[in-house]
Amino acid sequence: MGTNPMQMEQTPYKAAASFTEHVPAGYVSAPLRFLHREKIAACASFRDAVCLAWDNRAVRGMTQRTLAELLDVKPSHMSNMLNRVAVDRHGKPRQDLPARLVADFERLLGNRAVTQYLTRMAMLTLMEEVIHRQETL
Amino acid sequence: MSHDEAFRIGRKAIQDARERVGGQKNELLKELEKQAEQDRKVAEAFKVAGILLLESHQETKH
Repeated sequence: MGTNPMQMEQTPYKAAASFTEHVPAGYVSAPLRFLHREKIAACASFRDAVCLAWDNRAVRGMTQRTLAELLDVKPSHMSNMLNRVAVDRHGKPRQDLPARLVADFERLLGNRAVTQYLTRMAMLTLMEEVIHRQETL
Repeated sequence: MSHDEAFRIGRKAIQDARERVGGQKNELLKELEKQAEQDRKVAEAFKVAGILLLESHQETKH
């Protein structure tokens, strides 16, 4: 939370709007599905939520390679983002799905698991902040 | 919704929920989720805040 998140040049929502114009038919299903609250609550990390979204993709035949192409990322990066283990065999942290790709990622998979997770995390983070602030008054 | 507005609405929702159900975290979270289901603005506020917190977290890692 050290940097100022207010200094963005382009929000993920704007980026997604231009992206969907180029997405092949059949990969955008609307409305996006919400997953059960219990499944979201069981995610211990952002990575878990990304993997949950992938496991619940609307198009079951979609491969990681296809998703990588549609998101315009390298297949090896996509593979890292969808790996359940946060570090590789050398102990090096694996790349996470960048925030700017979340909206497109969800549109392509047809569910809102990542947004649901992030919303929950925002609630918990702001809750801690509000409670702490009121306790120190 | 601007980023400032998202955080303002989010904090206000938490304060309101706290007045209704007290400071126990699980109850507070349930109340917030209920509030978000009933009020699109509150839902949008936490959604925007969530993305911003993720961006901020990812920026500090690089």
